Amino acid sequence: MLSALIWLPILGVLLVGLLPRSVPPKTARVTTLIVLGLAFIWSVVLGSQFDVVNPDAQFQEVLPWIERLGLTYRLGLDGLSLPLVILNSLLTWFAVYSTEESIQRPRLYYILVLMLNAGVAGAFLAENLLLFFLFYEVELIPLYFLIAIWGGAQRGYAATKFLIYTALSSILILMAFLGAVWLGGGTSFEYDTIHTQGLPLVAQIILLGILLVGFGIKIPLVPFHTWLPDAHVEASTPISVLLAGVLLKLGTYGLLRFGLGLFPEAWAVLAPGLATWAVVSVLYGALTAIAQTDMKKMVAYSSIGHMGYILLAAAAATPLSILATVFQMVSHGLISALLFLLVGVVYQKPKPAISPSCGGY
Amino acid sequence: MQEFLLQASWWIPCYGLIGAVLTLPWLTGYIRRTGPRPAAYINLVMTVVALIHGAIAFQASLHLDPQPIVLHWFKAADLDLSFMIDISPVSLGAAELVTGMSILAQIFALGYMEKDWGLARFFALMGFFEGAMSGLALSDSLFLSYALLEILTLSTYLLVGFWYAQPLVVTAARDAFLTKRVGDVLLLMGVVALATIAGTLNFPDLYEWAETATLSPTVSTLLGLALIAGPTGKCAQFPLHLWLDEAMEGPNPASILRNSVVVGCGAYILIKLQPILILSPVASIAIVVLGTMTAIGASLVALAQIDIKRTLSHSTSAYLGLVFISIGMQWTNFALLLLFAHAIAKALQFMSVGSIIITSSTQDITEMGGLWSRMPATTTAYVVGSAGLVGLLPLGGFWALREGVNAFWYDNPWLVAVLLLVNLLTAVNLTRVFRLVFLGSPHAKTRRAPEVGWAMAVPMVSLIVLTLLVPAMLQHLYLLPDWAYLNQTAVLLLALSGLIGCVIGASIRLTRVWSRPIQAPLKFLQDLLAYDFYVEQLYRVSVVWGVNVLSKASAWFDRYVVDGIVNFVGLASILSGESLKYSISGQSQIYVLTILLGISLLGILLIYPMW
Repeated sequence: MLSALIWLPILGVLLVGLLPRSVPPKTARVTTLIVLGLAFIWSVVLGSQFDVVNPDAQFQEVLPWIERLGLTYRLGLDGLSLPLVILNSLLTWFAVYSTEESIQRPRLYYILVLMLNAGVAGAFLAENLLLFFLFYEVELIPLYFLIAIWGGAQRGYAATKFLIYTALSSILILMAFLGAVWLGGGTSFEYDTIHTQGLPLVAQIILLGILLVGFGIKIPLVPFHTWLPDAHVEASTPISVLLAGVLLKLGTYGLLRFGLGLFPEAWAVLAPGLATWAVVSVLYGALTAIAQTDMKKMVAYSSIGHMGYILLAAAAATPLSILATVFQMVSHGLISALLFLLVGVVYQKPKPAISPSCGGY
Repeated sequence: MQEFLLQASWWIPCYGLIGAVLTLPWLTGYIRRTGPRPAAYINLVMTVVALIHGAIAFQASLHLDPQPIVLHWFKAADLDLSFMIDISPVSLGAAELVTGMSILAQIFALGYMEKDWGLARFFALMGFFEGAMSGLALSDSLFLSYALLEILTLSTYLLVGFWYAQPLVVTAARDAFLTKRVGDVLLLMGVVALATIAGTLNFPDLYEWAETATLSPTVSTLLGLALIAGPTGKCAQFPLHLWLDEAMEGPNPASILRNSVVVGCGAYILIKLQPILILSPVASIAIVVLGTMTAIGASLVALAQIDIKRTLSHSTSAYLGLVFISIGMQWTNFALLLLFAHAIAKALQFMSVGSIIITSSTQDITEMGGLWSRMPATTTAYVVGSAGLVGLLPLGGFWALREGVNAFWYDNPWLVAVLLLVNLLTAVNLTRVFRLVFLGSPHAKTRRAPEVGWAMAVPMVSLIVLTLLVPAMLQHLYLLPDWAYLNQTAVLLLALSGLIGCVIGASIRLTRVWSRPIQAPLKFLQDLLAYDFYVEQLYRVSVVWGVNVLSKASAWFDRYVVDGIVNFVGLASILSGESLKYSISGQSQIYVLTILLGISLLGILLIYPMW
């Protein structure tokens, strides 16, 4: 059941990719929209079938893959991933819908968006650390191209910056994952078989610290954030929507799932520091946003501030605050997506996109 | 039926919202053939429905015993957000006042906004506005009230910014929004703190909690100050008062509501919060001090304004200051009475002002004159509205202020003085405006000034009648004092202060054409009052400057330090790679030499500690 969310867009990739050249670009667009629409409907259906009372992962699917590495194709859905999966398919649909019909190289564009959608869905659904990591990496490549090909004047700089930052984040995450499993003497990377409680506290704190920096780049938290404003300014509007709406959530999702989930003891130790970090991030993002003259940068910095709230709530780590993080993730996803769409509308007007001169809009 | 409508009272705010939603096809331009008028009628009908529903529920609430309504909204973990709806004669009466004012303002708007292309948008916003306000009247939960205050902030922003093509309107809307946000954010802090400390946000539970609560003085002071910040912003009290003056750039029908009931909403919340505020003596004192400062300051500032809407808006601030004083002194009856009387009288004045503006196309009172014979209904409206506001003739304002004078008579004589002073200054100002606008010889813009059409005249005349009937309403509700127990000295003093004010206002020398006094001190005084005691400039060089500098600094830090380091790392790696590339020469002796040097370096490092 869950595999459909990943493989349906991949099927769409094949469909769009194999369309004959004579077919007008509009067909590629409509095909993409239909495929993504089906994925969205399917995610909502899964949501309606979801058993709210059951705290375990549901609709599980297990296929063996590389057993010796501890890598299995194992998917599951729980209360943390369900809203984000729905958000992902919804926002991708809107991003494609808001794309200009006259876009250059339409088929490549739609293929990359579909791949992005599949990668993010896979990351949210994975129940195996290595599988998560694979999907986390898969999602980078299409996004890099989406910024580097359809971006603004400085797109090469922004895309490379994004890629280097996020690759660094991936390496750190992989380090932490391998450490968490291998230091404990485990061989399986399934979420539920990993026990880090046996590790000394110092080791746990170090692993958590690596994970925090890794996901902190993705969220992004100050001071690892400078790739975000550049990427947003250079990316086209639909890609900004996806970046702010969905991709940043991978960072907070990972923080909650792995940071808090795998290292609860270390988390408790670091919590005051994390809360401080979050507040600094919030204030810094908000203050810097005030001084921006480019509307996209302004939204990007306020987005940094808003993502800081999620870390703040996660630092408290009470049942209510964890719920609040999910709420904030979804609401930030919707709000920032809307804001970027609005900025996109203003950008299309013949005035320069400098906010002080936009008084009349 | 009555019982059912009473229990369904929570529908009253929904009608306005439904009206706003139904306007959408016209607002978005989906329906163009009919013009925007049907949207206006839909909203009017919804308001009438709300009014009728409210009237029946109000009647029923007088003799039936209502069940408390609790709407459960959200329950998760240890958080239970439930909204309580208060069904009592007071809350239903307040909602009725809101819908009544809304319907009059909307009919007025039919005339005032007749040729405006954004008519549908305006009526949708009015419906939204009305829904939020009547919801606020009925809400019995601090959380719901907070949310509705936020909706009010938003709709104020949208209504003030209605004519958004004008730069002054844009800044006015922005200032109104940001000023209210300052209050709202502080209030939110108080709400969250209260939710944590008291464990509930429904007013009845909060009152119960407040009776037994013991807080440390610091906590209670901070809590109290946070809670009064929201109403301070809403009621345009010092130091969050500048927005109301600027908000007069918005359309007049919205100003009618803003000056009568919207500012009252803030005070209404404060009245609701009053039993909790008792916990903090500092907060109570703060309310009284803020109220006194605003009441006297705004009355003085009003004297020097030449914009007809702005001078009246400052008087609104002043009256709300009096309401603040009474809440701080725990005389909520006086506060409610004054709010009621002020709402009706001020709405009438603003209708009259709207008629003048639409006819003369100016808001500058020095350009007016001689309107009394040309616009009799408007003149009557202004006179009756002023009489209803000032404590001179036995209309609403008089009885309300008398209640106040009576309340403070024995314990706080200095507050009686404040009350009388504000009454006097208001009388001076209203007489001054009356002389400039209605008396004297007509000017260029007031020479051809016909009376306004029925759409504006009907609500105006109805409100004249209503204002005159306020004492009868009070009598009916047993709110008038018994003649036998009337404090005659107090009544006499009050009437005297009003009379002296009128006499001063009638006798001061008024220069019609804008001219400056010759004496330097007088000139300074005039400027001081005309520019709101330079508070705006003060904010500009303090708060605005501070935030600006801080954000610029943080943006600079971000751009050149944080991002600078990142770019430096990138540049360093590229440079080192680029320069190392020149070592590729293809000559094996150089490679061997490099290897040799490297190994020797390693060897030296290895044996270095042994030396």
